[in-house]
Amino acid sequence: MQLDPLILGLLAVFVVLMIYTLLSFFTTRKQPAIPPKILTKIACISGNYSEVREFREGDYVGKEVGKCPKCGAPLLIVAVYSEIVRQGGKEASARS
Amino acid sequence: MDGSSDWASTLLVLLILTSLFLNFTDIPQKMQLWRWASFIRKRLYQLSEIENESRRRAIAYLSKLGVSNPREFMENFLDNFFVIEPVSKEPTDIIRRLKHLLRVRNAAVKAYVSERLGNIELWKRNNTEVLLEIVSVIRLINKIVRHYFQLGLKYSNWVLVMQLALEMPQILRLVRSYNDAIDAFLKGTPVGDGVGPLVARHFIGNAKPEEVAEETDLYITEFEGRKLYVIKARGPGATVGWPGEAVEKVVERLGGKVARIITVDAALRLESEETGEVAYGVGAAIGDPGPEKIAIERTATKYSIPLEAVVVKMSDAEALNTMTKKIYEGVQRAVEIVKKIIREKVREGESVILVGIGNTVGIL
Ligand SMILES: [Zn+2]
Repeated sequence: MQLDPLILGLLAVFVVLMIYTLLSFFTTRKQPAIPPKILTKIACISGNYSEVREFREGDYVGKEVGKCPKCGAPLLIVAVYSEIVRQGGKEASARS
Repeated sequence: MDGSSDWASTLLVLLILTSLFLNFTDIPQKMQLWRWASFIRKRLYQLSEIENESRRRAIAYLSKLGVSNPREFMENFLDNFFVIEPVSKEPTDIIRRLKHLLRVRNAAVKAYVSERLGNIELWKRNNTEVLLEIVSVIRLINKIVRHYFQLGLKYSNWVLVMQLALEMPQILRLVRSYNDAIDAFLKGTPVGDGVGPLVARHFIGNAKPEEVAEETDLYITEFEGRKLYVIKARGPGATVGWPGEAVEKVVERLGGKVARIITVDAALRLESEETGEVAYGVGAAIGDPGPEKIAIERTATKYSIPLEAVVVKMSDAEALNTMTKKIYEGVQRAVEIVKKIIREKVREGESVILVGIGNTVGIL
């Protein structure tokens, strides 16, 4: 028996629509975003030392957090910011 | 009978039927309406989830602060404390009326929070206020979306439903960023909107604060021989203070002898712009409902003081969430621009006012 071309055409349309629907269903799933790391930047008020460490509860900009290891002047928090650190990348905490 | 003419005539009949169906019935629109509605329903479910999560977090924070019956305390806040805009048909003193209403509302919120929280640190009270405001905004958006959705279904207004469906991703993104903002305020980290206060903090050094308006401090310091008056909201709690009123008072106190007023604020970036871009121009860079901005403009005009504006660009979501590194780099560039403006346009010995506009959470 030979298939009716009409039936064949409708079948083709059906298959294309099915593939389209399934494709749009599978491609909408996103991978989970990497949570950003919150960092605190500390600097000496005389400007010769700074370091970046992880944010701790209670940190705020302008808070005094000890003495400068180089000159003994007060160390202040100068910034708190978030940064997305990719795994396998460089370590976020850096000294300068 | 010929097979080929048979299927050709079937096709013809099918085409005519389809065109009748598409052009002369409402069925396609009904189907579309049904599809858009199910699309919205899915997202409404996510919206409710986010609202519930924000409530849970708010309640957890409130009970940690020692509030008795935190749920009732929060629910009572959510639907109340609206502000009715003053009459605008009669424009005389509209700003004064609006200013009055905003201050009354602010005082009412403070009284409500203070009454239940008792004597706690200012920054904790400020953060609680912002937390309650965020939850009530999320709830308001959820209610408005539901309103239009139900209205659209009730009257089979497929245009309304379709429009809402197309807006849904943007609305969800906004609500998510509000919900994420709760984290920033609970932890007390600076947010993107804090660029103004952060730039101001850079110039303060170890000057002592002096309260010039409610929750707004003035620091008097020097920059390369120029007398610098820095105004910012009092940190590290979440507050924006009343910068307009503060500028007015400081300029009046100096008898108008001010060479420049520089305002620094966050600005909404266009999609094609980069986060952290810095731009400068003329005017008062401040996004309040009106009274604070007009106070700065009026004072500057009264004494013909040039108004300089420096802005750091970011999206609305970034403004509400923990400051990103890109925005912080923008802050560093903004500091350099402010220095350049002072060096080039203010002579040594003259006075200049620098106003850091924005929410000072996490910034002393
Ligand atoms: Zn040092």
